[in-house]
Amino acid sequence: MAIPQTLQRTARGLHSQFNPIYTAPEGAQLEVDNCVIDREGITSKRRGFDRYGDILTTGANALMDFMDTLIVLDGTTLKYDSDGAGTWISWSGTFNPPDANNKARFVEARSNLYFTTSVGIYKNDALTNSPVLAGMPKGLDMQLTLVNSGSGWFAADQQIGYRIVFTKTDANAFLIYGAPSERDTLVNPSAGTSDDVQVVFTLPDDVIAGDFYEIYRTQVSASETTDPGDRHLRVVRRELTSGDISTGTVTYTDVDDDSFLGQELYTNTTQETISQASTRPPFATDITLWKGHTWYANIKREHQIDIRLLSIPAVDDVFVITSGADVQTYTAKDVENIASGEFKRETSGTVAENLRNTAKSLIRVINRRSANTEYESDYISGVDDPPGKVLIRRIRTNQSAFSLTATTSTDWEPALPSSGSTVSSTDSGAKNVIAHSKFESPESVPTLNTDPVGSEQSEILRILPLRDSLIILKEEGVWRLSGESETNFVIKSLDPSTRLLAPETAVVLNNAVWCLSNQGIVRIDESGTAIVSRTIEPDINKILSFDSYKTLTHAVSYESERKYILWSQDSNAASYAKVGWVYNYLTQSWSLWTKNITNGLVLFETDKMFLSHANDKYILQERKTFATSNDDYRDEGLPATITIVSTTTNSDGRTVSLLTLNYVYAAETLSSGWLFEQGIWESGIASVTDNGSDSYTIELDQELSGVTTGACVLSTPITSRIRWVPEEAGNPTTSKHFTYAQVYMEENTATENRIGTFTNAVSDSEITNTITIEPDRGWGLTPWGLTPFGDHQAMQATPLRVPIPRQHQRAQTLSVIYTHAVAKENFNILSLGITVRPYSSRTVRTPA
Amino acid sequence: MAKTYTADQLVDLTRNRARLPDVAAQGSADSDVLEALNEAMFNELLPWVMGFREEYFVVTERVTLSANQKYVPLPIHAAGQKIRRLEFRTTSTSLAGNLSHISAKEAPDYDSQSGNPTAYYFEGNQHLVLVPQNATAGNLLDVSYFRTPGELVLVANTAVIQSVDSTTQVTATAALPSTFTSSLTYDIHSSQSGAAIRSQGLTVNTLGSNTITFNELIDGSVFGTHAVEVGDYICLAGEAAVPGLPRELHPVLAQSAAVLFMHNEQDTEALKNASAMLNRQLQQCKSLLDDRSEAQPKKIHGRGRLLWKQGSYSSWY
Repeated sequence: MAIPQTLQRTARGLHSQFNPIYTAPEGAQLEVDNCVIDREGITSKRRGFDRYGDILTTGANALMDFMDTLIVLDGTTLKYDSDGAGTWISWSGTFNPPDANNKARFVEARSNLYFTTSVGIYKNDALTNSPVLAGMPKGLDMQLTLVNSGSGWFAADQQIGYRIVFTKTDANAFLIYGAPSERDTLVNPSAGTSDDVQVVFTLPDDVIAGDFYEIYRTQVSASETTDPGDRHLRVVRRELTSGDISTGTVTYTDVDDDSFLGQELYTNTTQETISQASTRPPFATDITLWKGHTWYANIKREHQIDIRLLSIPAVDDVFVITSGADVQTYTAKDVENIASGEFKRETSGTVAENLRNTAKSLIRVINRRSANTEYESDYISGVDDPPGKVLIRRIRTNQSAFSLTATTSTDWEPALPSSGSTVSSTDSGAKNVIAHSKFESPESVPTLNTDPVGSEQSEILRILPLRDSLIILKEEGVWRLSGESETNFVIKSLDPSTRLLAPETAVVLNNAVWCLSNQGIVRIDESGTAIVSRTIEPDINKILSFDSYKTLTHAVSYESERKYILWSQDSNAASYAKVGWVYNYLTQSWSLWTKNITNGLVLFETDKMFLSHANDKYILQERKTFATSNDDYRDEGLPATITIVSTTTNSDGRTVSLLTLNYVYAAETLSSGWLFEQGIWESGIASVTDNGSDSYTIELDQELSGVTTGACVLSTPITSRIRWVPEEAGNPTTSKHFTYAQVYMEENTATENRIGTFTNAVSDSEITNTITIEPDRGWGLTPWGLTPFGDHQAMQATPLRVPIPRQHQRAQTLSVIYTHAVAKENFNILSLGITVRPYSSRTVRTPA
Repeated sequence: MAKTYTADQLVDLTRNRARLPDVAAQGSADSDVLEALNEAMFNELLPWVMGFREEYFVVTERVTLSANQKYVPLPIHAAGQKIRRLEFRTTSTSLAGNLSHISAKEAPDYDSQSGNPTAYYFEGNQHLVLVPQNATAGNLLDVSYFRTPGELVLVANTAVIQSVDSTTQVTATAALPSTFTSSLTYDIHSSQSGAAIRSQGLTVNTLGSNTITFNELIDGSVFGTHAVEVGDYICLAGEAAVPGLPRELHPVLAQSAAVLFMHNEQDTEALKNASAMLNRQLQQCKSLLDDRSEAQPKKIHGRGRLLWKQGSYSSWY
């Protein structure tokens, strides 16, 4: 005789991949909605999220953590949390993400915030400041002339060189150097006198008052024909004034002889060399910090082109820079006129001098012309180069190419056409290239500090730091950069078979990179790749079928909770992520959260998760007080206004409060299970009547004598639903008689519990039993005997036991569902028990 | 008072007893349960009740004989194709006598007689043969037999009478079932215990959306019929919404059907328990069904008494 047995099932999380009645492990679940499995074998309700602070204007496009403060990109405006309560204050400027496929990403280094934008890397050094382009601009052109004839230090028959460097000390006392200008030299001919040198140099567009310039010069050479070399020593460091900025140039008379020269220029051959000139960070789609270097991926430098002047243009010949509708014309004249865009065609010297000076005039006019805000130019002929070499570049990165044309094509090399775009700039960018800053200098990224990674056809999607490796996620696979310093950095392919599919899903968790890949959700560490989403592979594959999943899917890393949370659409029609796939790597269990979310971040200081609501324009803050009141277990608290206060007698014959109130919230519908609060008064909502026009009448679970008309708060419950895999009692082919299902709770903290069932035999929808537990209302309010004496201990848990509905008693497999949707209530399900008696090997009574 | 169950309620009760789902693939759709109920009723309870010989299920039809009629068809609803009694009448108010049941081989002895039939014998499954054959047209034959209860169908396949509008028309409480057509014949039975037949084999005169007029009188004025009442069920001929059993047997019927399911299910443990309960219920019901006139025990007339003679017109009892 078959004896009824009670099978116990714990919690192993979502298991949609396995055959649910043969290969799924004990405790496997098919639905674990809005739950977590953070304790081995225990299914618990997730914590809630509440509205945080003020409403945003358009909604957050990105979240950042800077100085333990939440930063949001609200549309194109960056805002910071000014008071730790969500009072947002805007930073000046508008900021767009690098491109349509990449959100703004950030890193905090040297106490500064660095983040990617559509025009390059920006930084902010203080919450109360506003972001500026990271790094310092390169020094531009200069004019060197002999002054103070006969009374200076610069003797006849000598030559000398100068370079200009712009620097800044930011709010965190971090000194930032720009790249030095090209070297310019001055000859004091043998027939000359001992003079001083006047230096006039151009200020780049984005230096500001308070920045510094430093003038470096070489020591004098042995003769006027001897090159002074490239060892520059500092002449002076001075702060730029607003007057300087207004003028656009600085004039400095160098009156000190060599004995007064100061420190060496950092690009001297005895220092870092010119190859380590601190150029600004390039445009990048990703940024991170590893081994003291700031790393940039998928980079682009400024568009630039170098040309050489071969012969002096005729008067009124033009040199034109064109980019789309922006056409800048520079005309050759006998007299330089910067405002008019007229450069001087030099004809009084030797051929070489004429070419040099004409080119430098053109460069000067380009750099100083106020009508030009797009381009900069350098004279780049070196000691051994022919004269007349000019470099023209965009001031900012990630801009469109520009082309050059001229009246007389043969004046230039390459020959410049009179029209068209055959001679155009390039940005030297490569989607397979990473760049890194100097050590502990995030804003100094020498052009030489770039490394290609794999095929140039394959884009770098993300770079993420581990303890000993920088993981590079490319379209073609996973690469690993290892080493301790620039001298031994090595890039190797780590796993060519794993390809990142959604860039925003890649995060670092537990010293590994987690992401959505062609292998599912994977964990990548320094030794290789491991698939972690095997148990939910059908669900993950479904995500990949959505048209916009690459840009809408994103993930949050939650170190203290040991969670990887991947937010995705729930259908192709969804225009934002609606569900979060939650994996606890310690319990190795998956669950599912439902929330309309566009971005997420765990703030380092508070260790709370912040989410940006997709259609409520609010930031949501995780409720994380660990309070015994279970205050954490409800979602948004929404404002409402009570207009009528009365009482009624409920179906149990008790007198309860009946309130009429006005309430507006489009994202969710007010219903039973919500929580009503007004000051110290709070109660669950038993029923809701929609009166229309945003008016509702709610019946509470109890009578609240202190409630008055006016403002109140309605909190949304977290609807949790758990469905275990069909129970087959060891043999899915035999018929069975299921009689009872029992859910064992750790404590009686959930008052309204629903246990539903369905079977393989019956296509009817779930049949639900509701089990109500008298809540602990406090001393004197709870019926005698239901709680421990004095109500000072947790209520002892009793199993939630329901008979299986007749419709579901005879079957081969039984599915059990637990649901709970009451605000401010938690549950911890220890196990599911099912009483079953197998009796026959028959699977179907009669053919259908 | 014990509850009178409709077929729908019995289906539900059976499912409850056997813990059956309502699903065709599992062989427990409504039609499956009805099939089990009918099987239990016809094969288990009908013969069991008839075994008490307390005139349960007995009805009488009047057949008008034609001249020289020899064969009389057996009533189509006769349980076991057997009859209870034949009474021969020359007029509706003039009882000529009971016909004796003889064997076919004795028929020649009676054929020689002239006049009205005095005996009969069965021939095959369809007829009884009058001996001698009826001589005069218009003679009557009252045929009493054990009427098989109507086959249980869901109430939705029947119509509940809301009003009796005339001697031939009734109005149902709702629209008539779509299966009701004018070419079919109908029975009307009571909603009370035993589901007594009011009229049977009725033919349709007119059929409205929720009214139906029969060609036959339904006011009970015809011999063998009873006046139709509000609450009665109109069914297709041979069907019923309430089992034609005493109401106390209705739960027993469900239990009996449940036993069939347990047997089919091969649930031996449940079958054992269900069978034991069925037997217990049957035992308990015996006292209800036996000796219907408890204060006046049935009087037994010995067939060998002096007044008894073959072919006489005295009563059996």
